[in-house]
Order: sequence, then C-alpha cells, then structure tokens
Amino acid sequence: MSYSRPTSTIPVPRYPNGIACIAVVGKQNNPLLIQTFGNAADQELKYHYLAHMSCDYVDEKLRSGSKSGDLYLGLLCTIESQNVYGYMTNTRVKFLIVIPTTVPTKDSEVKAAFDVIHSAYIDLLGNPFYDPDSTQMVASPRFRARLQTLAAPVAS
Amino acid sequence: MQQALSGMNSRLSSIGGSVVGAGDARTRAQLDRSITRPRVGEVSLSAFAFLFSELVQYSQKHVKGIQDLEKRLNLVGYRVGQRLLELLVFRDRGSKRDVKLLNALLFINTNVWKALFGKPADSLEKSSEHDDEYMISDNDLVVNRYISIPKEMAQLNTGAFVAGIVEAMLDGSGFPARVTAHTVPVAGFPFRTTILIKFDAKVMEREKRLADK
Repeated sequence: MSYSRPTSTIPVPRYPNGIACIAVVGKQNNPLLIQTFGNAADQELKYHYLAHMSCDYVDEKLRSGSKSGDLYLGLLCTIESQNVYGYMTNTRVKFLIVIPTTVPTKDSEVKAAFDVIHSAYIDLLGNPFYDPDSTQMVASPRFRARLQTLAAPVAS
Repeated sequence: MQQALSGMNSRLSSIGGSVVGAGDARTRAQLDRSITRPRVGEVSLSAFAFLFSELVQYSQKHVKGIQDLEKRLNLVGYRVGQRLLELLVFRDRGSKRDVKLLNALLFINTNVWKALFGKPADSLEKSSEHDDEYMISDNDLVVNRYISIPKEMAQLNTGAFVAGIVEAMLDGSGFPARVTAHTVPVAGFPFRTTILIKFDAKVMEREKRLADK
C-alpha cells in the first residue's frame, strides 16, 4: 500500500481449521459474500442461515446503544456450538466471523482479523467498477483471495 | 507562476509549463524537500485541474441546464465520497463511528478536507434561521481554482463535486442530507465557496432524542 493504514500490533492471526466462515453483509442486510473454509466448505446453506440470524443480534447490539460507536461488536451469539463475532463499518456494512467453540480464541485476535477484512473491503471499494449500493454478491476474486489467506491452513 | 514554484512547503507540486527555466526551479524544489516527512498521497495539481476540467466538459455535453450539470457533478462526487468515507474512517478514526451530528461535521471539516486538500476547511457555521442547516466554507476551493464561470452560468458552482463528496459521507454515516455548493463572495475572497448542508427531519429528531437522554 502506498499509504499507511493502522496495523494492529498483534500479528495477523492464522486460524488453521479455526475460522469456519466469513460473511459480509451489506447495509440492507443483504448477503454480499459468504465464504466457508476447511471442513465446513460443504455446508454453505447452513452459514447463510447463520449469517441471517446474526443480523438480528447486530441490530440488538446497536439498539442497546453503544454510545462510543465502536466498530467491533464482540461476540454476538453462540449457535450450535459456533461462536459468531460481529463488526460493523461506518457505512453499515457488517462482517461476521464464525468460529467453532472448540477453537480457543482471544478477543484481540478476532479484532485483528476484522481489521484485515476491513482493509480488504476498502480495497474492494477502491475498484471503480464495484457499486457499493448493489445487492449482488461480491464477484471480485481478489477480495475472496484475501479472505482465503486469512483463514488458510498454515503451511507446515 | 513563480509563486507556485517557490513554495517549498506547498503540498501540491508546481505547475509544469512552458515557462523557460521552470525545470531548474522545479528540481531545486524537489531537492529541498525533507526526506523525513512522508510525502505520500500527493497528486500533481495540474493533472487534477486537467482531469476536472475534462470532467466538467464531459458532463456539460450530456446535460441541458445548470441544475442538471450540478446534479451530475454531485453524483460523481457521491461515488468518490462513498469510498473515501470507509477509507478515512478506517485510517484516521481508528475504530469509531460518529453517532453525534456535530462530531460527523467536525470530522468532515478537518480530516476529510485535510486528506483531500491538505488543509482543514476555513469555517464551519450553523445557520441561525434554520435549525437543520450548516455551512462549511472554503476561501479558495482547489477544484474551482482554475475554473472561471461564464456570465450566463453565474449560478453554477463546480464545487458541486465537493458537495457530492460531503453528501456521500454524511449519507453513509447515517445523516442523510441535501448538500449544495454556492459562491458567497466575501471581502478579500471573491471566490469563496460555501457548502450548504440541509439535514433531513429524521436526523434532527434523532439528535434531539440523543441530546435529551
């Protein structure tokens, strides 16, 4: 990058077989991208439902009034032994990370992961051919690839 | 022309040109730049001026009136503003969303103007007659510096582009508003541009609710 972005002091976390799914939900609660990783790759429909359910939790978190207006929403809910963490950007685009409860996670690591996703989303916005108001799923292969590296199993 | 070349701390690079000897002065200015201060994010002023003038010409071909032209420039600015909002909030604001109206306006006033034009806007005022109107003024808007409006179009202000940027940022942050640009000459600054922001009724209600809590 030619300009500096805030980089968290915690190194970018790798979650080999950790992150089950990353979901990007647009401002009208329309799914922009639902990407599953590892063992969960064949259960995409289930993660669509999960993302949909989590939207309600996000709304609840917002209404219970975070006066500080923090972007990181924390652990939203635990459904079927999956933890769902939420993050909302300034323009009401939400990112959700689903991690099975069996994987030990620290809040700071999840925050760092969200920063990476946010950075990738900003780069996606930089594409003049991407319409941020569209309701279609994101078709950019580069964005998907960035998310893939975040959740990829660590090469031994 | 010479003033532009001699500015050592000017954020925008000097205008390249047909003036003889411009090359020497320019290299001297380059060598005098400090190495320690990062000079990222700078664009040549002349390149931008050409691009913007082409943008205005292109828009003019497709419209039938001044209002239309302003609306078109506004739309272009809107697209820029949408992307700029995400980037600037992430970069300059850490992880905070602006929930209060005044904070969002201050953010635009300083951070956005600084990122776009290298200096904070000249003033931010609240209109005394209407509760939901605010004005951001700039004595010398960079986009308008090399544009001279012909007499038939005296009502046009190409700052509509910047108005579009501001509108997108407010819209995206949850403060829908109508934003327009007007020329308000003031003693000493004949080209002063004022960006008028008129918020929707819903925004004012919400502000009142938050203020009472």
